[in-house]
Amino acid sequence: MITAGVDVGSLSAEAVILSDGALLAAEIIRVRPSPVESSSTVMSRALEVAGLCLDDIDACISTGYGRDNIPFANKSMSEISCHGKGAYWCDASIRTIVDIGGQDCKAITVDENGDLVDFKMNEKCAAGTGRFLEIISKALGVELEALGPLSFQTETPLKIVNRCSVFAEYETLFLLAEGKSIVEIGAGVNEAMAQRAFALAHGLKTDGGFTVTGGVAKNVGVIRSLETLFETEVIKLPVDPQIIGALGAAVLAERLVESQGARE
Amino acid sequence: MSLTIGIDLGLAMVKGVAMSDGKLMAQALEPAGAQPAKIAQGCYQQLLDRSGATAGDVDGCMATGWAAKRVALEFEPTLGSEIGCLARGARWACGSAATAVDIGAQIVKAVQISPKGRPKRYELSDKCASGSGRFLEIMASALELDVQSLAEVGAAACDKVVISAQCSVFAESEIVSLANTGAQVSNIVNGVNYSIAQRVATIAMRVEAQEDLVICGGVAKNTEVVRYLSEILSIKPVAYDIDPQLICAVGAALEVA
Repeated sequence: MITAGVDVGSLSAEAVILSDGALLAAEIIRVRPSPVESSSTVMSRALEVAGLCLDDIDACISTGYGRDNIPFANKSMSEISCHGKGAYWCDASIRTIVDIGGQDCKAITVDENGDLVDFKMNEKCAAGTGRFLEIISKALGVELEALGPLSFQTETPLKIVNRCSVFAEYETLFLLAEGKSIVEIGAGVNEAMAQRAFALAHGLKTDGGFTVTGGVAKNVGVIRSLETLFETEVIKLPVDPQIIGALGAAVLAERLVESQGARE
Repeated sequence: MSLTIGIDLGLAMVKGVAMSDGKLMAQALEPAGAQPAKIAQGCYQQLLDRSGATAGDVDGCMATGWAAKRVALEFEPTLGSEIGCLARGARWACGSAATAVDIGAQIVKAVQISPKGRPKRYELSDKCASGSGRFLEIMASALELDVQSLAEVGAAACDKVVISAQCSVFAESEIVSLANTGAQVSNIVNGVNYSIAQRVATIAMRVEAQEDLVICGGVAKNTEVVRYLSEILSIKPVAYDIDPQLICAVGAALEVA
């Protein structure tokens, strides 16, 4: 059985192809002007890597912000279920997932089968999303990828007072003008980011294995701060944390095929 | 000569006035930049020069605004509450002001003023840029327009596009994609002006805004925002004849008189 998942987010789009439970291909692109274009581009790349064509796919599920009207998807599903399922597929001990994407942040809990139990989500405010990090790293003049490691270069991160991304950007500029170090500001930004996600998860039963998905999971500084706040280790995923939504969609597509019976 | 000086250190602008016997003697308005303390010092000097006074003529000086507490100011002003200065300044602009709404670059403030001219109740925009002047600036720059032109461009619209995002960051992406998918810029701007007015109105309603209403702050210069705000609140704001950005600085100068 060959299934696929495609996750069209606000900043990036991912496609994953699974063959009998094994990962054949996973591709990530920056989004194109339309979700349909993003989905076809990223899917053709994944198909090329897997050496397959669209007809070889038994079922495909789309997810993410741009999941509707994807021409080659059999079904669309919420990214909440997909992230839960994708993380659980990677490590069955995982029960809590914090997903920090380009324009939202979610805290998700799943049961012993990887099915959704509960979730909380912020999609109204850019604070605590990947956009926040993008804005601040630009203000700091640091590459987004270089922001995370700054947390390991200082013991004294600066406190970022403003929650709003727009004002935090100003705050960053003022701190720079006051002669504060980029390292301490950057470390403070990572910490502020982790605090937003931690506050979001408040009230959820967060026992069991804990992991972080989405683009921001690549920021090692945010991960370290989350470990401190949640008082537990973040389980390191064997795949790129940005593909988890698409991976979960591909896993759920297996169920779709099973429930409808094999095509042949 | 006996002068008092009020300086309001905002996020975008530093505003200063020199007053004598309740009369405006001089005013200064400078972009705050990244070093507001330096700019405030410059404004202080400008105010002295423009009123033909020396430091010895200054009886009192008060600083207020976001950065007043944050930076060390050479002229050692008294620190004034933003709400107190707003109420005082609004009462100066209109002797019967019962509500003042200040739409600044960073924060929206609404205050109910007691008959004696003191703040009775106030509400703030909760540390979020939505509804603020900064929101307008971001939208203007996304549409490649000058922020000062938003009222004119919006007023010429034939329709009003609904801006659904409240967050400035998301609203910026929203209007860019609206523009890319063919929405007319004037209609988008009209929607932006309206969305700011809506945000400000909710804050004003929380203090039960009533006549006479003074609207001030940089965004008060956007006549479309003011028109929509007045429509939503069903209150016509009072007209006054100084720059609306100066009201809090006036209040500060009066507080130390």
